Amino acid sequence: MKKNVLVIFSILLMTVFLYPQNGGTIKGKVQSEDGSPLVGVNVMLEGQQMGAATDTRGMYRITGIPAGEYTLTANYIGYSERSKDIDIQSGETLEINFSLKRKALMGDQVVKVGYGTEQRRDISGSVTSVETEEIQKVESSNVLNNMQGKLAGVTIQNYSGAPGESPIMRIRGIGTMNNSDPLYVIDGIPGDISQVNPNSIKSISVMKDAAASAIYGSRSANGVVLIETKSGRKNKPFTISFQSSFGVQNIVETWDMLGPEEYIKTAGKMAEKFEEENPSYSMPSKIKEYVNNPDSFITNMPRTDYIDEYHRKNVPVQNYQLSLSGGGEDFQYFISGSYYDETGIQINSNSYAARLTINSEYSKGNFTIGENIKLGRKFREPQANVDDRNPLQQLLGIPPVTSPYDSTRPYNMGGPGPGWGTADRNAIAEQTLTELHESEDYASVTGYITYDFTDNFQYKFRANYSPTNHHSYEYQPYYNLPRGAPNRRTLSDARWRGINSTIENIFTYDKQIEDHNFNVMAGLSREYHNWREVGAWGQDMPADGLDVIDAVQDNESQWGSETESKLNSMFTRLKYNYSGKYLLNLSIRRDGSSRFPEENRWGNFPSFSAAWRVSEESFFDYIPLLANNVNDLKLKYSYGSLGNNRVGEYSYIPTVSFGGGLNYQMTDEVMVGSAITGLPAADLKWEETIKQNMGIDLALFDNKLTFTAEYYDNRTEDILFATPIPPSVGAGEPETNLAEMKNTGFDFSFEYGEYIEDIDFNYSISGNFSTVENEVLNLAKEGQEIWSGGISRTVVGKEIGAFHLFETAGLFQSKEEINNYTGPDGEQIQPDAKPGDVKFVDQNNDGELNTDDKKYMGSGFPDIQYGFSFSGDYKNFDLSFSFDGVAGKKMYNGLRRYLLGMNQPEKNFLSEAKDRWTPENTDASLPRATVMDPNNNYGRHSDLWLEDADYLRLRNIQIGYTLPEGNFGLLENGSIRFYLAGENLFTITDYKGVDPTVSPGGAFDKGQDWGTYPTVRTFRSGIEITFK
Amino acid sequence: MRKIKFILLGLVGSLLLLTSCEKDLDVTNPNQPSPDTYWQQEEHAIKTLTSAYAYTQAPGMWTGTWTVFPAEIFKTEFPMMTPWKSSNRVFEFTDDPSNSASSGLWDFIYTGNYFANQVLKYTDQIEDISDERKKEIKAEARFVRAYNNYRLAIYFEKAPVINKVIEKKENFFQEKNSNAEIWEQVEKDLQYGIDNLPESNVNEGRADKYAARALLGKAHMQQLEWSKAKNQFNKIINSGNFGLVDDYASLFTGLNEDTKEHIFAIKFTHKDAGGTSENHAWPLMLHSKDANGWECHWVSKWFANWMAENDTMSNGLISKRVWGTIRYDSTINSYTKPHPPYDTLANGDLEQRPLTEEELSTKSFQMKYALSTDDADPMSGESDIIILRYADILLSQAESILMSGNGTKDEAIDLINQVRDRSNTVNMPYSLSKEEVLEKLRHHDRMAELALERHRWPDLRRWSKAEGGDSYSAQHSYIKNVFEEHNHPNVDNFKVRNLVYPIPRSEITSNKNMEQHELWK
Repeated sequence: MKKNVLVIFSILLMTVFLYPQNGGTIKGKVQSEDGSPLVGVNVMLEGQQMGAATDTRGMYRITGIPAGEYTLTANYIGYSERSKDIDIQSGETLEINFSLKRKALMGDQVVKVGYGTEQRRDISGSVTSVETEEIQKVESSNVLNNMQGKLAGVTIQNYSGAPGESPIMRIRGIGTMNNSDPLYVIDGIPGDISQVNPNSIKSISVMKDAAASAIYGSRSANGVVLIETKSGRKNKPFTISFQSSFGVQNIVETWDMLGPEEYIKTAGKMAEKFEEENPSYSMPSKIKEYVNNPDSFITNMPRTDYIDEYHRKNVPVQNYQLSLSGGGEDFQYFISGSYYDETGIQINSNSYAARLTINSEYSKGNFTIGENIKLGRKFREPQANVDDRNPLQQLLGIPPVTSPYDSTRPYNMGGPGPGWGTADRNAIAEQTLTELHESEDYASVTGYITYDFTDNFQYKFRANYSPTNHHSYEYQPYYNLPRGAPNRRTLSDARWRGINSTIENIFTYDKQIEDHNFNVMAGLSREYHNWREVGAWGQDMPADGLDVIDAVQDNESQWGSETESKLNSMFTRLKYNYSGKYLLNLSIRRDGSSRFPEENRWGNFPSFSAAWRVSEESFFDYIPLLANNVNDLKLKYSYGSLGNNRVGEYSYIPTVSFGGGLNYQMTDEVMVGSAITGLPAADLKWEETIKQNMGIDLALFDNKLTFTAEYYDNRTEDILFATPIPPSVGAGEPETNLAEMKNTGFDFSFEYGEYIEDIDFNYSISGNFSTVENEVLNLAKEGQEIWSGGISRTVVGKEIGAFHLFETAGLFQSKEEINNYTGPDGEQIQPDAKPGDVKFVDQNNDGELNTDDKKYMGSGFPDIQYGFSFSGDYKNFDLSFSFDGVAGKKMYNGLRRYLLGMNQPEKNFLSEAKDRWTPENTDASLPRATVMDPNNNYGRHSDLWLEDADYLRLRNIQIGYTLPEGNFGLLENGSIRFYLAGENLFTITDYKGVDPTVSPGGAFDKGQDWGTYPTVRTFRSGIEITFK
Repeated sequence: MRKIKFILLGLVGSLLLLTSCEKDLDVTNPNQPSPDTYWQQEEHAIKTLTSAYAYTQAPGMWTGTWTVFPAEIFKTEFPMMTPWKSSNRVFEFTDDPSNSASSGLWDFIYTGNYFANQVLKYTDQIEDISDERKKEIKAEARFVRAYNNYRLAIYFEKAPVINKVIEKKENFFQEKNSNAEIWEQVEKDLQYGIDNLPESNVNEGRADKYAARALLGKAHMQQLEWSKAKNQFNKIINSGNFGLVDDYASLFTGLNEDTKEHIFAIKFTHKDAGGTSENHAWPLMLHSKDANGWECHWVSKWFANWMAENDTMSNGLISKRVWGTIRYDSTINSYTKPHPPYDTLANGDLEQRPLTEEELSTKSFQMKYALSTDDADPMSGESDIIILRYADILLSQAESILMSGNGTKDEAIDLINQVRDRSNTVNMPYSLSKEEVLEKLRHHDRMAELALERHRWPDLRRWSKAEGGDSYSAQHSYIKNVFEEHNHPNVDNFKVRNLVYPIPRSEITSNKNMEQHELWK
């Protein structure tokens, strides 16, 4: 085989040398848009068997061209073909340069897959990927934010909009009641995505089906996200690039609260009514003061806009980025540092991230060695929740006729003060005085060595060590939070350290026998994880500034714990294709995890996928309509079994517990008791998901349009769940692998890209649309219900954590209407109601309102999500923007319920409260104000507070201008781009809260909005400078 | 050829690397010990015994003693209303298998037995304790188990007897045992206690020989085995170790504990371990709203007035045990001292006075256990909740004499008067007939002396069986009759099934072999 190749080569060479040297010559350079030379580009004269490939500097030369008119074409995988018409004379030498544009998307694109890469056209599983440029159009401290709305079947949501908050990613729905996070693999090493610098990312691939992710075995059930970061490339000049941007952020929507005058009048009116309604009601004394003498109260009262006091305007956000890269034939390197700093729009909610990436690779002979080092620090100030109460709820409820400041008290912080009844919390003081932050210093160090036994047989050894040090700190000065509590300084100081280490041995082998192409990969890996925490808490340090545990005088307590786990694995994959037409992919991984008891320790996770590239069949060529328009048509199917081992350490090991309820006074002193209190999960095993995926990949019109449609069916079995056992056993409920869940849906995505040469306009449009239907198939026992706050319920046959609420049927307008609302035996259903109260539907018609009357009303997880984006450039200008949206998402607006709960006049209300029912305003949408709320208008969780949270948001828009390439003083071969960007500019929604895109809550209470930090609107301007 | 060797070497090396790590997958939990390695020293057995005792307290919440004990307190005519629906349902006789008062009692009993069974299982595996000492420790655990099962037999009547630590899934589903089988286990455990417990334990919160005797005597009595009961009580009385304290009220204040009257009590204290306090919330919960309490229940007016009229001293004023039990003036804001109604004399001395009309017509509150020893923390109590005390033994002995016919009526009267004397209550005359003495003993002395101490329901059940025989309906009508006479406001709801608590729903739904009590089917 090898010999044949040599012979052919020699003959070709000879023909070149022997050809007469009397024609014309064309030479030139081929480079990509960013100016880097492209190696191996075929430059051909159409219609002639003449051409040349570019060398390592991107140069080509074609000689001996007979005089005439030709079309010269440059063709390179992954780039748009370009042609130029030329007219050449004999003996003439023409210099023709090409600048090739990357194709928007096509089958030749190389995609990262588990333990390797693959050309898109050869993929038979479900992998979706985002490109670097697309990611970097958004600036943020966590790359998940940049991916929002970009990928079909991938949901990215924020618990809140607070700086430094980590969003959550769900691939094709919620897979389990436990941890549904996907596995993040960063440069081959499982890691924490929040530690990655978004600007250093080269590509992100999301593995959605079994075929793609099964190679990660017992951790792949919720999908796998592969992140590859940038590295130095061969034969590239030393390049420095610098980017800096500066932006301002503001709150988008605020809460429409009653102003000071409106408030005190409303409160006074309510309180007077309450007194009539209930003789034992006594007004808070401040409201009494107003009622007795309204004019002088209004003249003298303070006026505070609490929202304004709490929120900052035009807060800065800064991003700096510097990278150095380059490479020769044997040695490549890449160094990048970044700093992202975001000031929160609310008091004391700042965040920053500083990161450094260093990698290099050196090859000699058959050996290649390299390293990849990532270092960083993250810092954030989470919201200070005092007494587990939401600061926003507290803030908005404060009467606006008070002042948060009081010069007679420490730190000039006041509060509503006495006379305001229960409204005694000053959220501004709490947030200002409480110093609360979390920081994390981390490193990830990888070293590897590869050895090429032959051209097609390679061995790779890779080792990684990743320590993380986390610190959380909370300090409260000498101040009473809440008022009435004693003044105490309080300190909490806790640290944990995590260590992850990985060792891998991987073999790859390629073989081609005529039309049969084989690729085999096999590997072994070992992982070790350790987590150790220590913390202390105490009070009464003698002075402010003494914020160490040694200064604590009272109530000192401390804690500490450790967990450890290990994973040993072997895995192999066979890829086979027959002349690119029939593709088959088999993989199996065997994992042994220390999280499971010995008999269940090892698991096998097989998968297969098959695809048929219909477009490669010969019959295709006979149908001109297809042959001319369809570049690629592929049908694919995959099936496999995946695991989820994120069930916590030690749960199968029986343990002895100490203290608390086990203590008893055995002698003069109390003795700490010890006993086995719960049964271990003795039969514990991983959760298993069976995934099926079928789809079609299509490329049309010279690969300008690509389209993918997929249908999936994922079933998770053996979900770990606390299982009731007879109380007579005496032990707590053990966890058992019992529950089951299903997710099904469609993913669609398309991309259209075109270069219109005449006007030098290049653009692409892409979009995605996906659906997900979640259903709980089984719980730990028949008829089991898991309620969360009496609002969300998980039962068999419905989505996890679906809303179950009382249905309302308007307001009662008359006593008669109330009397006529009766059950089957004529009994009154709402005997305590008065006109203006809410009418609740007695669903089961049993004459009383109870939990059984709560009705299924959708879920906080959207049914449909979509996104589309545009990017284009014209001459030196570029423009890009992207939208995303969801449909079928509900939110329970708990904050609105609280702010309209009209049974306490001593807290502020939303302006909406003006539209409450009164005998004069019977057409109202909200019930009457009533002190005891005997009808439970506000007490009952009803559809009054459930809202559609569908939205369409302009996620980002960016306009850039690149100065024509050239020398800029010191910068040779430089390029400079300026840009303006906006994020979160507008949102179309009916949701009455401030942000429908945030998604508070976990699996069981998704979409319960009790007031969250809203997403901010950002305007930025920035500059990118690159020179070589 | 060299290459192939290289490849083989690499492969083999890697495989070795992996196979050698198989054992590496074993991990140990560094946070908590495992049962296999834990029980090595005597202290470990004692700590587990501590857990078993701890579950007699119904721990978990500060107010836990209140939310769980209702099953034992509210099935009587003395208390009224509580803010807890589940407790009220017990009082209203509208409870069902989901009621958390009775299911809580069930859960705490079985969790306590689970811990007691662990003591029995693991004490044997400890090498460095003598067999004698092992028996002593096991006897304490068996006492706790007996006390738990004693309550099962009384409140649930039929329930599974669990003697072993259940570990395997196939053993989860135990059938219920008959009432006789429960009693049999109680007697076995207590006999073991009598044989192996020390004469006297370090404090009255732990079982000794006499605690086992007292409980065994009461178990016999509950089964109407009067002679056997009498035999045990005799041994306690003749031991000379026990007596009555002078100050009745002080027994329930936390100030006078571990006395000669205490035989067994559930310990509460302001001391703590590891930041977990061991006090209870009864002072807060039993005080009136006027005294900043939660007013979780008050004493029925019928009972307060009956006590005031019937249990008096020779001067006509209420006896010590009446004012030690009931607080007639709800406005008194003192949490720390029991106080009879008194007038302050000119010289500053206090003198007991008659109750006023107002005190007799307004709400009265429970004094027992409602006091705190700590002025700084008046809301939480450390008074021990007494389970077995000498006065009860004397009255029980009187009952055994009268019921067994083994002994004279006058012997019984002497025992009763011994208890009356301590509170200066007017003595029972010898002129009464045997039937009259029994009637007084049941519906005066036991009621007045032991009120609000969790004896009432077992007493009513025992008497209902003594009078009604094996017929549930006859037993029911005996108790219903008592409730009617005592103005129980919910007597109309009192049905035959209320003679027992239902087996909790949580047990029925999770235990495929469990059948509900026939009265609740």
